[in-house]
Amino acid sequence: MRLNTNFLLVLTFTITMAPALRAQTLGEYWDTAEEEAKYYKIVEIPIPEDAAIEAGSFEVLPDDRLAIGTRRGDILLVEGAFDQFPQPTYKRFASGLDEVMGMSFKDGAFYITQQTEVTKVTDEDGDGLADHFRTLSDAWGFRNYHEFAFGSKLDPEGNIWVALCLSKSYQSDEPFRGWCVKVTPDGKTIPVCSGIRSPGGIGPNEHGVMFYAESQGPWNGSCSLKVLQPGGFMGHPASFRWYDLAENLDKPTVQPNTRSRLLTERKRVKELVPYAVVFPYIKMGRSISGFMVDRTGGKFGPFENQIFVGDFSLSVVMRATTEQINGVWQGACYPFREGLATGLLACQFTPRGDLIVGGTNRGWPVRGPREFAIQRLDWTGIVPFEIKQINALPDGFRVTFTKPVDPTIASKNDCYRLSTFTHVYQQGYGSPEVDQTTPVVTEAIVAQDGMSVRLKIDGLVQGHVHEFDLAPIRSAEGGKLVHVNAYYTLNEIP
Amino acid sequence: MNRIFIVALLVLTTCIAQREFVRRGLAQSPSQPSLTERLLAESSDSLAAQARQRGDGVRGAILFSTQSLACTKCHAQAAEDLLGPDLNQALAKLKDKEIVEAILQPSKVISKGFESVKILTLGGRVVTGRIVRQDDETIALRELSDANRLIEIATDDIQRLAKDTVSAMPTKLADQLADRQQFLDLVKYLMDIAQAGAMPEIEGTTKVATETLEPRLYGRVLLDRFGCVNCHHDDAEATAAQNLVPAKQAPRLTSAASRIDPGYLRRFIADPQHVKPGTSMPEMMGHLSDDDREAASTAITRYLVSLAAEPFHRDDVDAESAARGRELFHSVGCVACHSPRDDQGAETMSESSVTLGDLSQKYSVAGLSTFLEHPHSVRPSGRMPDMKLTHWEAIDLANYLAGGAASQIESSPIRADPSWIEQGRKWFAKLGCAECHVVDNAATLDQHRELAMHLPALSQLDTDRGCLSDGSGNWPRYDLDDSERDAIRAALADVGTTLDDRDQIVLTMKTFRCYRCHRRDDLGGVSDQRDSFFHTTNENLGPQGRIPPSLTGVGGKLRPKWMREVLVAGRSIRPYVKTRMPQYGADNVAHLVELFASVDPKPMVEISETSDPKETRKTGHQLVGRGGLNCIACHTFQHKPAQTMPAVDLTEMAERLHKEWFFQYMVSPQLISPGTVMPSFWPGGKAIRKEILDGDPNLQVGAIWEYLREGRQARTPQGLQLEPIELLADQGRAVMLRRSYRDIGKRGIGVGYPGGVNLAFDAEQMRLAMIWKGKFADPGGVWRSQGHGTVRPLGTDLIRFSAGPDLDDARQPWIVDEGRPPHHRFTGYHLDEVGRPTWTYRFGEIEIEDYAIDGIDADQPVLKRTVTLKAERRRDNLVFRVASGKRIRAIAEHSFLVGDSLKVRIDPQHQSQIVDDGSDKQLVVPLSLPPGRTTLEVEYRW
Repeated sequence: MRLNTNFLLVLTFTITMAPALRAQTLGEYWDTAEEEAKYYKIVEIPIPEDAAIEAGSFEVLPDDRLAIGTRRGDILLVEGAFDQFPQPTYKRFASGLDEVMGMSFKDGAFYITQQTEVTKVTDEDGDGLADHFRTLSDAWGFRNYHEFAFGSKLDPEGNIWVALCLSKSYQSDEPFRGWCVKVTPDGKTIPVCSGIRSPGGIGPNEHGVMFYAESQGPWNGSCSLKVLQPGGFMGHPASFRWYDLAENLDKPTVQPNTRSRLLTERKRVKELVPYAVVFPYIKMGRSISGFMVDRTGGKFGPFENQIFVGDFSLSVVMRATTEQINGVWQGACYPFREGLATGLLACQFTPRGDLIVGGTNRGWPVRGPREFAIQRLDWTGIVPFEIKQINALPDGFRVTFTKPVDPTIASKNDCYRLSTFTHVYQQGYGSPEVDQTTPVVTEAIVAQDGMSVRLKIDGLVQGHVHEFDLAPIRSAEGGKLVHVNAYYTLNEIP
Repeated sequence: MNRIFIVALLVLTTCIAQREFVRRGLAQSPSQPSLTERLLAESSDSLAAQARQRGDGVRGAILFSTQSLACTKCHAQAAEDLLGPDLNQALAKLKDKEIVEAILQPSKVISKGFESVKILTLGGRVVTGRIVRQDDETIALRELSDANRLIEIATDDIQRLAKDTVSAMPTKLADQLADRQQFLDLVKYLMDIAQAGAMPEIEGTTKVATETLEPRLYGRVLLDRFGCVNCHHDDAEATAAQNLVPAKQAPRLTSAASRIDPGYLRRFIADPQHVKPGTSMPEMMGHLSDDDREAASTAITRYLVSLAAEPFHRDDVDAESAARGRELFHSVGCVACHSPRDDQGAETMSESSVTLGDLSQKYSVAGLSTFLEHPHSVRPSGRMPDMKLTHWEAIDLANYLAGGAASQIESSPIRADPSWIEQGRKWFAKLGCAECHVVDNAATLDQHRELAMHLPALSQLDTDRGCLSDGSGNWPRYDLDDSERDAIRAALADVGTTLDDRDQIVLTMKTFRCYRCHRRDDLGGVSDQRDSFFHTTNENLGPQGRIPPSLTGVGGKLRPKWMREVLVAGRSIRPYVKTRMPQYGADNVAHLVELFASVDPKPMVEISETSDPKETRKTGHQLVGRGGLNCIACHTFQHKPAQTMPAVDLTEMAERLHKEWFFQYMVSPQLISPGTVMPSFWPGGKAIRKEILDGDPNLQVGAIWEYLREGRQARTPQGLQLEPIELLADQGRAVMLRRSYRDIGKRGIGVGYPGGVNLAFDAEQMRLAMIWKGKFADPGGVWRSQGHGTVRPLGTDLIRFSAGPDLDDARQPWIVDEGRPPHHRFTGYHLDEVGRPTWTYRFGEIEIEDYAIDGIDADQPVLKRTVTLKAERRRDNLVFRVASGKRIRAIAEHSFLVGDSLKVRIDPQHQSQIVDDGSDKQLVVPLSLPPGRTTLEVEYRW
């Protein structure tokens, strides 16, 4: 096409640097979706055209139906969601509830957590519609819409653990805002711990210990998975005012100092529980949400018994592993799959070993373009070459891979780029990464089977996130890692 | 006699055609004069003056593009061959008054070259339209009744041709407008265009390019199509490495005999050109006797059967599925390359199509659907692209294509017999099949490849012999015509030449047949013949809504990341184009991303950077919204389609486009996309909205860009209409919503009863908080955004009751505040058979059930409430509040008027009192509970 130059705009140049801060962006993509798709494909679970299904929780029923609890207050029962090529049918079981952010099914009854309460929901006349809604606990105060309540599935004793968001996510204006409480099968409510800010999900880790997902904000430099240790303090002191209502617990005698470090304050405030797995901001999500452990027995690929966690803002799924060192929980997180269609709130493994994810993108900035979606990650059966997990050792780390590595490359020290940082532990919102150091790998010992490498490291820093960049590593077949990064939070050195 | 009749018919048809062309937007009663009639009654001078004064150019620009007027269907800048002239040219000469007249009385002055004609053909067909091309043999005519259609009529077929004195432009166009103001807006927009002066003439680009590919490049396409390098290795290694399209591989045959009827395989191998005319598979057995040919093809087939894990199985065709498949075949893009089919399944354009052969003889439905769903697993080279079919669509398409008479043929089972298999394997190698086809794995393939070892390299070939000769012999015979042979010769002569980036693009686009849908520079585009198979979901978008976009200069338009996502990850931005952008595989086409970027310059525009992005974004927000240029009148915003049409989503622009291209496009959309319905808001470089940013086009476009850079986080523009949500009781069942309601805490529970009454219960203070009639509620406040609002009761006659629990201790009542009373505990609710709840709660040891149902009493809705209290032990000194209000008075025994309209009746077993609590009056029932159950019944009418 020919363009007439008369027509081009010739205008003044008034270039100046933009002085104002850009609105918070959702950051760069990992740019790994194309490669990820070879191993985990995204399958759409179609939603009826006239339905708005904003999933907040999932459950699998004994008859292999999928149950969805939604932000709009429905419980939907879905037949066919697990089929290879899903053409599901949806039935509304209950409606009119208040943000269903937790759901279990046991002995014919649903146990749901909504903003107001934990409720047992049953269909007693057998017509396929819920007819009894029994309040098990509404012991917490609720006067602000942002006081979200995230409930676990039933634990082995039949309890539901509920993580209660702060008022407006900053203060604790009402009883038990910023607490975790445990609701027993007979409706008793037992305070577990204080210090929560804004939870996004709750459930057991791969060792069966109850964890929750915390968001970046005051006293939280970044998102993290934390252990809900009874009597513990999760880091945000606004909730201290309700210890009078918790007869079973003692109020911490020391308040944390702001503009400090978690490691420093841990020593002062003995109840402060170190954040087990820190998800560096933007690099690893921006609002981590619902998570679930892969108990599929290998049907979902090589990550059995690992935690899979979604992110609301970035519409990604990540992995995490935890271990207890010197009595303290810590572990690592790893990128897994990006490019989901909406903001993820919940995930659920299916009986076939696929991972259902879903949510909505309303209200906050979200990368996923759709208002709501239910999708499924299916393993294609091809094993990706990935960092499977990282474990702490007294003198370094063991990095385990999903496939044998090329031993020549993997035994070179300079194939492992390590750096560390921590966050400022402070009352202000979030934190930059601070106190950076660069540890040195002094020896890389490849295991005989090539599946793992033992790294001897000079310069481990307790309390820091250790960031791994393993870009040069190749598999024995010469393949590149799908994701080259992983992040280990070293609360304790074994 | 007959002829007179036909001429009369001709006149009549023209009238009907014209009337149909003007679709009536507004119903008009015969007594009311139409808008056109009313406007015609005024003077053109006065209308012109009013338009100049009170017309709104932006609204006019949008009207110009709407489907009801369809102006752009016939008038488009830089478009050729349309029914009407390019207005930038035509309007430049007109005075204001003449613009008014051109709309109201189109036949008064008809632009030269745009007169319409009526043609009567020998066959008795009558066509009316504008002649766009004419030579001694044919006349090309754009039809009046369907402006999309261009028809060619042979001069010999014309019985009569008459000039028409009536303009092709509809006479009552103004009747499509809502009111007089819209007419003034439209005229104002046309004045703005006229004022901009004549635009420079631009080369038209809507038409299909007429250029053909140079032989040296076409020859390379053929060398690839026929897999010549598989036997004649390419000795010019540098050139080979430089060829960016990976060589075409023949289909993998490992499981061929599972998908394909072995009987068909045998016939095809024996005589490929006959069984599937036009196939790129050569005939390999020209030199064999008939017996040997029979033996070889049978043996090879048995060998292939032995490789297949599953035996071939023919399945039944599902007629309903096939009907859906037919629709898919003719709409998603299959027929861009393959021939469309008529009702009987016969191909209608086989000459210009990629051959399919008789698929009903070849495939089973299951075999074909598997192939269609994942074509690259069998044909990894991507020449047959992945059409992004869902599993179910692939099945539908397979049912259509593999169905038909032949699918009923019983296939003779061919079994794998060991001795035959070994023979087949030998033939497979000896005849050269293994040069092209992968059967098992690469290792065995290498063993089998015997021919390539001793055949001459490409550059060494004698181009008059062997495959390129007419004769047959001990070489593969291809179905080639002379021009194809010449092209191959030209390519062979040129084989050592390095291809530049432009050639690589052309070669790639030709190889993958991108040109069937896309035009780029002087090549390609949707052919007139196939035009009618390109559909849209929304006619308002004009040709852009159905024809795949031109790729001329696409590297200067799209960001590489986006381009890659479109090419490799299947991303698409135009949900309204029914033809799908297929996937060819990253290995095959990803190199285009870099090539486009390197060959196509970004437009040369100078852009002024902003010093205050925040302020600029605010202005951009204003411009995009209703008060500015109203982009959201046509464009989708964050997946929410606009009311008129679903034009490309605004919030994905900045992610897709280069800034420079955006600037250029905005100022002159017609220049870049001739025929687009996108109006120019800066005709001739002058802003229509002069009051924003001093009418500086560059600053205005810059502000929009800065705003769009926010992507999906961009603030919702003004005027974007949210669909209202109404939550209503339906099918005789109550509806509930447990959320925040005004004047109730967060533990409100609303109920909409099927009988047209509604209530909200406060599950924190255990009280009936409000009642209203009619529609239930709009949950938008809690279902939108973060959910920080409240549920808004719809309907009428809303009555609120005071805070504080309904049941309390008479002597020591809780001092009411916003909080939760200390001794009340909500225990849930249960629903009756139509979903009406019974609230349950405790007050100390007392268990309370509170159940309300809707009823009709003397045509008025009534709410009947039954409160049941259960006590283990006797409990005195309780009080139950049944209503509260500014005024309460007794109107009969047990009946009270609360406020102005609420009548409350309490059952005769209970006495009630009116209590003044200072601010409100309360209607209460004092209670002493014996052990066991006590029931209180209350009726509310209002």
